[in-house]
Amino acid sequence: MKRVIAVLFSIFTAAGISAADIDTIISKFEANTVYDTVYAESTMKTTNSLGTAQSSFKSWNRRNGDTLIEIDKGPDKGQKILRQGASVFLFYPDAEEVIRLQGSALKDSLMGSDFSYEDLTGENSISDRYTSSLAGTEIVDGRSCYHVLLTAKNSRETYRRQELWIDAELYVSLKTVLYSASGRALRELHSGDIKKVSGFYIATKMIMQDLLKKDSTTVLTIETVIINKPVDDKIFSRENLTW
Amino acid sequence: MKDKRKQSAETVIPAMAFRNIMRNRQRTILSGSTIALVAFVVCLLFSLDSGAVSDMKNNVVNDVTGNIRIRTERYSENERILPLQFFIPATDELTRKIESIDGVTGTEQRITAAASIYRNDKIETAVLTGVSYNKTRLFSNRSTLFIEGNNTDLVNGQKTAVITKTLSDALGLHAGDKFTFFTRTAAGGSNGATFTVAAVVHLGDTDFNSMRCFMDWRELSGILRMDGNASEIFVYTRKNMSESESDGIIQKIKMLEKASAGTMEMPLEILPWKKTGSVYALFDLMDTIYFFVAVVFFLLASTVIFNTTMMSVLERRKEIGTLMSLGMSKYTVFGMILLEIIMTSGSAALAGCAAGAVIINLWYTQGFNMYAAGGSAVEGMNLSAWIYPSLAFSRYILIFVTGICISVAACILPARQAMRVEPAEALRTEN
Repeated sequence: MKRVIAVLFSIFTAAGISAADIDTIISKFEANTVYDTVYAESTMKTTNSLGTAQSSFKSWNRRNGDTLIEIDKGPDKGQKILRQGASVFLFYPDAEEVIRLQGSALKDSLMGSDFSYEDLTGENSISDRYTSSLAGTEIVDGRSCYHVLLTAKNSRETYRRQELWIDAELYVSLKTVLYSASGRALRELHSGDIKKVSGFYIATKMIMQDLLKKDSTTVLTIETVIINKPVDDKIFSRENLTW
Repeated sequence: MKDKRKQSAETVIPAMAFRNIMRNRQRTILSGSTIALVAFVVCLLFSLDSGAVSDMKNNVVNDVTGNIRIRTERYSENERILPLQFFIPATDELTRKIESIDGVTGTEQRITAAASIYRNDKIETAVLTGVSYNKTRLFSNRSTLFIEGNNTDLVNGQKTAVITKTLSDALGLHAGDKFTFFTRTAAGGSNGATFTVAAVVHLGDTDFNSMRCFMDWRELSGILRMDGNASEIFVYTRKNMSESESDGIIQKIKMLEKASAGTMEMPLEILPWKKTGSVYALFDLMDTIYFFVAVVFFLLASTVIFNTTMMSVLERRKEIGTLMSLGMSKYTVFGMILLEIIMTSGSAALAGCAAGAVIINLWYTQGFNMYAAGGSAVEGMNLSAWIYPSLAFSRYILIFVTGICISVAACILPARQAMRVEPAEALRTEN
């Protein structure tokens, strides 16, 4: 009986939220996920055929997509990754030159994880880059979600199509599936452990699965996060990389 | 009386055979030059085969496998993707123990990885090969050419690299220049480093002349997060070691692996060089294949001899009939015809072999440019650009004897035709 009531409740709730306007959903989602600046300290644990590798890093990001990642623990300790516009600059402690990646190279794995450079760097805003539509409402991890479909406005986008399941109450994406231009699902992200930080709801645990790899999963845990605290412009400069 | 007749036949028949050969010189020259030409060509062909196979064997052993190659089984299973993570655990310790085995003359550690070389915003993909500068035989090939820098500039433990001429041309890199590369590591991440070009080479083993970069394997192991280990160990053994002795060394290495079972998390694959690639096992077969090619050449030449001998027999029917009517047996006639062929083909094969020996000797001292002769078609088989053909004396004998035997076989039919000549009938004809 309890189960029947729960199912009916979820149907009514879903029916209620399906009426919501997609633009409103996206604007509320962006209001919760797009920040002027964000600083985070995270750990990443990748499990695949090579075994388990753990690393930790600090990251700075600002609204225009500029991002700096400094790896401070793990096999790639000392490396820095800077995102500026459509380019990623890599700093390796043993290299005298900073290496610039562009285009499809942004799909490459970051630190051997299931996350790509594109996943962890760049712009968070989706309304400028994607057209959105509402596919319906679904229950994900026991929570009512808007099932949103995103289609890239620009063919240069790394992911040409995305599917998001946005929590109808907290406006956090609980599940994301990322697709290639050919329509093939490339990665699947599950988010959880949602915490309220500086008035924003953020998922502090993310599990990414590279669907093209066999038995490979990366768990990203955000240990510390500071939102909208001014960050020095120098942080995002190429000169800072070699310091 | 019979003995006297037999004795006179023994001296007269060769003389008659010689006279017959010289009687129609043009025809004899045609038959002889065919055999001589084939013997000459076959000598050159055999020497090129022998030189190329010996060169490939040397290159495979020196540059690709050693006499015995050691890897982890999982590395071999996934070789196509250069699985750096399947390195040989405790490489140094194992190498030390292997070097103490009787019959082992040296070892070499090797790593192969793919990398992107970055220079002036330009990225080129290349193969990184980790070698030990003081142990590798890659640079000591007779055909290796140091275009810039030299062997003495290569010092282990430094961030220096030897690059191929191809890579040098692609990125405009020269000795003394620095370049940065980045690559995927054994841990799955990426890493990069800057190295200085110590030398630009054109390697003797042409398989290594693509976009390649050679560096100290220990330095590369560090960059690739392989904990100071290598992907492969090449074991060099005493020269002319028999297969059973080589198997004995493999067994001893396997014992070492068993004794270190605690530290060796991955089973090793220990193979003699011939079993490391299916192509290498074919090297021994190539001699047989070339022998059949030579037989085909001689068979083609024998058609000329067959025709000239048949013509000679038909033209000499009256003469043969006269000889037979004077008492010469048909077997003596048969023998005389064959003797003519043996004399012609023997002297021609000898001349062909002698001419071949002169050219082969010249090639052996000067070298033979395989690439100029279209040798690029066999790229991927570890052939040097310059090979040094040679031919064992036994091979000359084989070619000489094969030439005579095939010529004789081709002339049995015309000789039998001569045997069947009826003296009375032959004498009646107008010729």
